[in-house]
Amino acid sequence: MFRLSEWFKLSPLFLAAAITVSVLTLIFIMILSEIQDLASLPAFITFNGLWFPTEGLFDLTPMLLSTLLIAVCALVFSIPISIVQAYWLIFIAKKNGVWSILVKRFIEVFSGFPSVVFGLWGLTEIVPLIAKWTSPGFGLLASAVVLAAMISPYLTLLFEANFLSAPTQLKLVSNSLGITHQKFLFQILIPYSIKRLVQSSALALGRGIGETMAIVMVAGNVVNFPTDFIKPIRTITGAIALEMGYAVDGHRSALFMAGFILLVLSLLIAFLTQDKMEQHDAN
Amino acid sequence: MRISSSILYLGLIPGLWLITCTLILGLPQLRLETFLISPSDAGRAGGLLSIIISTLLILTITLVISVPLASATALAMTYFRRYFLKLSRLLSLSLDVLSAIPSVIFGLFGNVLFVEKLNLGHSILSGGLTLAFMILPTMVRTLESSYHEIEKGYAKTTEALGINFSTFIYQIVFPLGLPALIFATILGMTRAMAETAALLFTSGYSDRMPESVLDSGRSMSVHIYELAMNVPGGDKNAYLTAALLVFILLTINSAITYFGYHLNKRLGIL
Repeated sequence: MFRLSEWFKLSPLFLAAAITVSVLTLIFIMILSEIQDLASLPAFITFNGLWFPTEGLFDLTPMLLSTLLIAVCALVFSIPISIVQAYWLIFIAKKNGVWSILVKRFIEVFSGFPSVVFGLWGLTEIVPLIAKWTSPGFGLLASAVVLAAMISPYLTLLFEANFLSAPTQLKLVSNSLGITHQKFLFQILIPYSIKRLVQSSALALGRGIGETMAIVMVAGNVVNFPTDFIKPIRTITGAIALEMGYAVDGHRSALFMAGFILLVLSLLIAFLTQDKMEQHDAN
Repeated sequence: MRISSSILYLGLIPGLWLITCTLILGLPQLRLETFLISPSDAGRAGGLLSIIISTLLILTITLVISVPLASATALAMTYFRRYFLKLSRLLSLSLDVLSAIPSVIFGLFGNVLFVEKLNLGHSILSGGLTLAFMILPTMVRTLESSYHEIEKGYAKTTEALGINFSTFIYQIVFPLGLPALIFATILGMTRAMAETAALLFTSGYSDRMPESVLDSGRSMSVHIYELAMNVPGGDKNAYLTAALLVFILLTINSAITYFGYHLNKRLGIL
């Protein structure tokens, strides 16, 4: 459909697009190339809870469970807060009022804040606070609180977009029927946009699973099954961040295996939320 | 209503708490020497000069790689959207997937590809390249939505004038999208500045002054992590670095708001 010179002029763009598409493949190749034996994957999921790199004992299950549990707890803490915030921003706050713009900007700023600052805050404020109640303070509770503080602004922005995609007639009709905010939120808006809300929550879950710095600073980093809110635990990302510096041979391979599992987990979540993106495209 | 408003304020508490405690504990530490001397005694004493220089070098490399790559990819995407919808779907899918990959995985990837395979060692260059790939999806997404709007607005006009598609892309879409490019660059920059996990195994921990981009260098975020976790008594300087980082990011964010406002007014897009 084009002349050859036209293709030639556009070729740098195609090259860039090809590079962007190939990055994903490259990531897979690089991670897999460091794993000595992919078929030994079952040996990493033995449920005996032993992680002794020097003796060649690598069981990822406690860390995997900790990772998932922290992310789920953080999500449980942040979903109610984010739903209320998103609803407030759209329906209650005065449009273009100083207070609502301030809150919106504040949330936007915090959705992209450095996770290491959250970690520092957790380490010096949240952990001592929990330690006052019960020592040592590091563990599931501290991690979940810090992670919830981190992902709730992100979740609020996603929920806000979800609520905005609901038809405005819903609100107008319920206003004319004299339905209260509470009833409107719980019986009309949430049921209407439940699918999108679940997808947004899954996105936030993926972000929580992949979070490294904030959690590594407050989780305590002892390899334990997450049986208690206040027991120090270690996440997969934490193990990678702490041990990559000195890991060699089998240990390094085990860490890359952990990374591979993490990669597959986050890709699964990305694919589950995919049809949402296509809806956006269709609109 | 009372319950919901208390939940609303509860949600704002962590952010307010974090920002006040960072600024209150960090800013009193600020001296002129902070910017003039490098850290000593594992970071407990001294300033942040080498850290700031390393951060700037990493950011520069990241942006030099990612800005051309992202804008070319976004332009290619506008082309695909028009002529090869399937390819644009593929590109869009891979961007979504890339943006879902945790940063620590990018760290592993950079460690294997740049540090080991390309033999760059733990260096500022490896760190910058890794971050460039990490912020790529964010930048392309931002640019692409704006380019798409421009393309829609001018498509009929250019068709009527019989302008080539390449001319259209290079001489109309790209120049009109320059404000969006600046916006995306700033967004990518804040992402890169906030990143720690991807830099741990690519640019290394060394707090000495980097002599070239092939030297190991410690970014501000890695400095905070090191001081808080591995240096007893490093809390004060960790807070100082955190306060500086927070201050820079807040400044950039306000600039984005201001800039975004004017962008909206001028183009009616984004």
